[in-house]
Amino acid sequence: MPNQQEEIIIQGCLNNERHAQKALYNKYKTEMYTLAYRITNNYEDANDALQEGFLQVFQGLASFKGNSGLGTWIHTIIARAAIKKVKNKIHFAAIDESNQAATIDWSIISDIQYLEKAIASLPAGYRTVFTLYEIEGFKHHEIAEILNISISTSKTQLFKAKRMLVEKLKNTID
Amino acid sequence: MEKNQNILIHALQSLPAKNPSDEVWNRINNQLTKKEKLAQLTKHEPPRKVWNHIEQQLSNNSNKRKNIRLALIKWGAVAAAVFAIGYFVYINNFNGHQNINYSEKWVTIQNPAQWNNHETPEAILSTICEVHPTVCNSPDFKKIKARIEQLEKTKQLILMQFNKYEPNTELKIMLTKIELEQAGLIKQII
Repeated sequence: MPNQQEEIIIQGCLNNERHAQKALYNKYKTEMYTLAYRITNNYEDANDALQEGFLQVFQGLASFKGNSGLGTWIHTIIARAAIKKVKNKIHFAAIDESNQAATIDWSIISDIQYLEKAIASLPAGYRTVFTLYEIEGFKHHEIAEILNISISTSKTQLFKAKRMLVEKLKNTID
Repeated sequence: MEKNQNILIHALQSLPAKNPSDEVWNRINNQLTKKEKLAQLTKHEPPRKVWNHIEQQLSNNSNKRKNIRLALIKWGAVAAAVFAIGYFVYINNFNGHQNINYSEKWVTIQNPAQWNNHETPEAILSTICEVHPTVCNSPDFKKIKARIEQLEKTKQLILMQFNKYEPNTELKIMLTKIELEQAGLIKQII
């Protein structure tokens, strides 16, 4: 359920009040732009995704039922808009390797910039699933729905992404 | 009974405690560290142009909506006018009622008999009453009808004074005036 302040902003947006729309944008812009950039790995695509995503938010706000938080709802819209930008670069192969565990030892990571570069260097599909699951907190069934893939494919992509990331991080430590 | 319960409590208390393996804490620790590390990842600020584009799009959409609304109102008004005109024409022309045609013409009178050589006003009024019976009952119609009848009587009286062998210009002018007034009144009714 949105809080009172959010409620006022939503009402303003529904009345097409520009200051309310700006307030909503300002509230979520950094979080959403970061998400869009992490998925697209490209500032121009992230700009477009943010623009398209927020326009969809303003146009579809009347259909927002409040079942989830407003932030979660906007997250999903921006994620979809960003994924649209990289869709042609993503190729998912449904290989079931998800039973194997790929654990990242986060304590050994001291260089955040290198971690960032390592995540950015992952292939688009791996990076998208890793970002949505590990960083943004989406569940596998939600990722599967957003990316139009099976849950097992989502798990596989995450496993491979983690395995690749571990390899990349190992190189820095070595 | 109470003795048995005490034995049970004692037995439960003396069950050996189990310690979680270090693995459990390691996993918790790893998750907490992960949160800390991910929180340190760079946050990206969108450039100002993104909002400018959004604002422009929103204005365009709003203008589009306004234009569509205006166009709808405009075309709605045109459609209503066309419908109203069509309905009016249909009611007046295609409802099976008889139409009244009326015309005037100037005639040079050669002899007094010609003054009555056309459809009398009474005949025209009765035709109107046949076609539009409701009009006949209106007070205005009755008033005009009375005036026409009065004019007709005067006309007949003047005609009786008329000598066909002697031109009487004054009487001719009076008759012309009567004819013109009658024609004007009939036009009013129609």
